Amino acid sequence: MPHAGPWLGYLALASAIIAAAILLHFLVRKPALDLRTKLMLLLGLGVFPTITAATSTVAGMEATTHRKFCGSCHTMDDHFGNATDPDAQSLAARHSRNPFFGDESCYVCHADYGMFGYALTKMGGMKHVYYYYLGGYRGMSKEESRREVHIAKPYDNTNCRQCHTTTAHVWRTVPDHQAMQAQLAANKVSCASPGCHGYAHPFSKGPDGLGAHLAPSGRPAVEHAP
Amino acid sequence: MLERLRGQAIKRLQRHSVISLIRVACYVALVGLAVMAASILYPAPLPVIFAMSIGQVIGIVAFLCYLLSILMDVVRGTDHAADAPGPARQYREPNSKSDVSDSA
Repeated sequence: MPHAGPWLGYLALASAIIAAAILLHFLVRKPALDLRTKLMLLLGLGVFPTITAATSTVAGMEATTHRKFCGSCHTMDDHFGNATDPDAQSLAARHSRNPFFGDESCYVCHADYGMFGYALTKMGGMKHVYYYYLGGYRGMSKEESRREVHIAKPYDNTNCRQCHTTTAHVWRTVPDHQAMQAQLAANKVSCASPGCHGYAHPFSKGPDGLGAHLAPSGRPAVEHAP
Repeated sequence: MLERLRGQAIKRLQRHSVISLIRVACYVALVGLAVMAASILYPAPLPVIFAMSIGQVIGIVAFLCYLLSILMDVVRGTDHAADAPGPARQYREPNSKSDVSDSA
């Protein structure tokens, strides 16, 4: 989980401003192209833009982990609203109130924690952008998006187990946990299923909040629309 | 055919001065910097994606323009003003018009 802080953004802006000042000075004042000017241009066209590119990339990557970023598309309004509702009791809302998740609760729960997890998570995010701008999600009403937009693949219990290790004594003493330990480890049963801890975003699971419903096509709407 | 295309490319390159190429690099770099700065000020999906892809490509193009201008400057030599069009004197034809006007 990146935690570069806001100083990286300030550094990116500062280096961009310095580079722009050097370039504007050259364009407006038109100094002679001597060695000094060439070195200044090397700073303005090479060194400072490189610093800006590197720091803005890291700051941008960090921005993509914030809940506000995820909620910036209208199809996520309900998820964002529920997660930030202080009275809501859904899994998403309760976890979002946990300081460890903080402003990055969407990312902490939905990130891929495998070896190439960071890159895979970002690739998944690019798919979301594609679906939103080119896949028709942008033109959907909230009702349509609730009906048509669903998680791309079944939620992996591994993500829950990043914190809930399933090795603590309290966890092991729950009879249901003991009975289904193998199924939970194999992702055959989801921690966030109706019979267990409930859906993380129950409002998105039909009018009763209990399960997946049918798309207008008549088939379960469990995947992203092409 | 290839020789002709090569000759045309060199002539086209020679028509432009080092200064004008650096100016182009400056304008292109300013656009790239603006895109990257926008992603910091407005971290929404599109600005962030544009900054990480198009913004960085624009920045690289600007730097390549600068490197090309430095290369042109080195090739032309010290006896040639940076903002003068055409090749340096040492690379010109001995009976070219510019040499005639220079000697006049």
